[in-house]
Amino acid sequence: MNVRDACYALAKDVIQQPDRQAIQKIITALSVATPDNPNRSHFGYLARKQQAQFLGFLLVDREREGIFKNVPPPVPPLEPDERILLAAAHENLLMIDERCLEAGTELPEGIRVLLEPYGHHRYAAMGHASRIRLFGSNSLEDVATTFAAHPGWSVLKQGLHAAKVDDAAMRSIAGLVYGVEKALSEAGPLVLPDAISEIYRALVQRPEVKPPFQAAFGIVSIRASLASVNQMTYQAVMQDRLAIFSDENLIQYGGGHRHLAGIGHAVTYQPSAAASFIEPGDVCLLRPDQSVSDSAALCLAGGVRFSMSKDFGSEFHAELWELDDSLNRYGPLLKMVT
Amino acid sequence: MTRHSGTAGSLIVSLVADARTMVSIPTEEPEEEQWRLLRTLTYSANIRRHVAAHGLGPLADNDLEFVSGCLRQSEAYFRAAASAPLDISPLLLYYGTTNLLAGSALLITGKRLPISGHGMRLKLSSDNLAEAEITPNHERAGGLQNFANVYSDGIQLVTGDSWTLQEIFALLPDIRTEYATCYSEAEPHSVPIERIRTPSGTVERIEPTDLERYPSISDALDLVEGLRANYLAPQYGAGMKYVVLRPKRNGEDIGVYSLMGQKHLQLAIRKGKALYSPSLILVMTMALYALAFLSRYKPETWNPFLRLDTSGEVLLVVKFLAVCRRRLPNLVLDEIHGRRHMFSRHPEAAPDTTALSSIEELHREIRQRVSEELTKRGIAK
Repeated sequence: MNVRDACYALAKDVIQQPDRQAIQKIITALSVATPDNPNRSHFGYLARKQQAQFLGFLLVDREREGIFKNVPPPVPPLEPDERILLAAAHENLLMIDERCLEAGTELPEGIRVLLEPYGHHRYAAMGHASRIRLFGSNSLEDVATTFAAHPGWSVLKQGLHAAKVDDAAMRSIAGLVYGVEKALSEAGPLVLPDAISEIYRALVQRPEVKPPFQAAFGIVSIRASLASVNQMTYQAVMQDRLAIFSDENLIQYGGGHRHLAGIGHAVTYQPSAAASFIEPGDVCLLRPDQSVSDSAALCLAGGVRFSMSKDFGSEFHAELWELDDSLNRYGPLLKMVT
Repeated sequence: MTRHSGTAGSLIVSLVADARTMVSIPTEEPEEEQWRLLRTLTYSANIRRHVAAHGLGPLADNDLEFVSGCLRQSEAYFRAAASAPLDISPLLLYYGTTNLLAGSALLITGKRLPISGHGMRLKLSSDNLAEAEITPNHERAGGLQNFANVYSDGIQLVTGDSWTLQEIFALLPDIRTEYATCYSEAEPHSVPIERIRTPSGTVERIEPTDLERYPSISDALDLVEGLRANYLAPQYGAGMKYVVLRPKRNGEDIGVYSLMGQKHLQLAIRKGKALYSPSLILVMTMALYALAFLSRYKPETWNPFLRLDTSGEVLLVVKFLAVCRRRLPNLVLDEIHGRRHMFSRHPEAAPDTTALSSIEELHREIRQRVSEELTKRGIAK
């Protein structure tokens, strides 16, 4: 069993949990405009745009006054019950993250902080995790066990072991992590950022500089995998099935683009029951050769663009990162430093 | 996962596919040219070469003569029909067609068809031509079912169901306008498709007014056999100007083509629970049989129809016969060679080598730019 298999099982478990319906109801309501509250759908849109799952709604609620200051009419805050349930759902995800990060307990504090996928949002948990149950302990255990074998751990530890991890080095690794993540995110799935090409050149010319990059790429990979685990869990709360791109809805498939940081796919699809509407950060399945093969790639959406025409119909254009067995979209980065 | 090339690659694949399935023949005289091509197969040496090239094994001498004789007689009948009056031209065209189909079947299958009759009968319950009923019969030795086995994917026609002449006319793209005018309430069963190449691939679309004689667009589309297997879900309604169809990436072309090369979708004829979408060759053969039978055996009906028709239906028949004369040999030629032959008087029907060379140039350009970029980034060896 790998992280992907364990996460599938976890998602199936989530779908069986009765508590998910209450969360689903809140989030659905936050995504639909009503006559009384026309900005409600905007609330949901902004929350989803954070790509922080349940936390996105809590963040928009926290910053609501500033965000909607110039967008009348005012958007009411979350009801106390809604806030508590969303916080509880978020803290369920934090439980997954904590268990998955146990494999790095012995790492320096500065590194452990970097590994937390929600760390940069600085949102303090409110201790509501036990208010709802999104999954059973066995599913959680399986995800944690498989995550302990994530290839990012060994690369990270190797890098830290070789590098002198003092305060300055720690700052340098943190800078690298954020710089690499920013470059990858801005470039999207299909393009290799110049920064990564430069790192690659540097590693080829001066192998002795490898350790900090090993540490940084290990962290980036682990964070990326955890983000995918969180997103799959979130999507299991919201829907029973992942969006599937196949011969049934693909208008155009630009093929897989393998580069030093990952594998990107470009798809143009017609909205259908199998994949009506996806947003950046959504996990989905790509099965472009369904008629000849059952093999499917699990992917994470990068940029998504929608076009509608009364002459040519509707179509979505999406760029996707392919996720590996560890749900890591940056798998090839690890290979660059091993 | 299988990796495919990108947009330019898809374009090339589609052009290559078009080139394989269609051949453009610029000519001043399409009708003469199609018979010239068929006539090449009246010579034993050419028949032998054709049969060998298609892996059909050697033919006996009398089979060679059979093919040659059938094609020669067919041409003679078609030429005679062109100058004959409407009183007898359907009969001549029907004879020419049966000869053409019987002879060509041997070139396609390597075997002679076991035909001992027309394989259909005609019932005329009124003087209304449109209501004339054709009932296919004699599954084994009937000409129609034997032709269906070769020229219409083996569609089973001997089921006890009858076909009216109006239903048969409804399936023909080349007389669509005349059909709609003549039978003002009847549902069309051949709908033109507009094909447009967009940056994200080919869009095929239908004017909703072309389906307005059906209770709903969905009712009409339900009659298109193979629609779901070969197209994504149709998009229509809600402010849409057209019924938009996106061909599936690995789908087949399920359309039929008019003489001028416009794609049409056939809306099957429903009989009970069964749907029928016979090929154009078969449809024309059935209608020719009906008209030939009427002209030969029912002069008391055929004569007043020609002289006294006030509905304009006779114009539809005239157009149908003209279409048969031009199209049937063309369609049979397509079947013999396994690709569409597009005859055109326009010089631009010649292969557009400029376009092909520009795609090659595009590929060269892409290769060069990728190579430059890789070198710039220090990735290339």
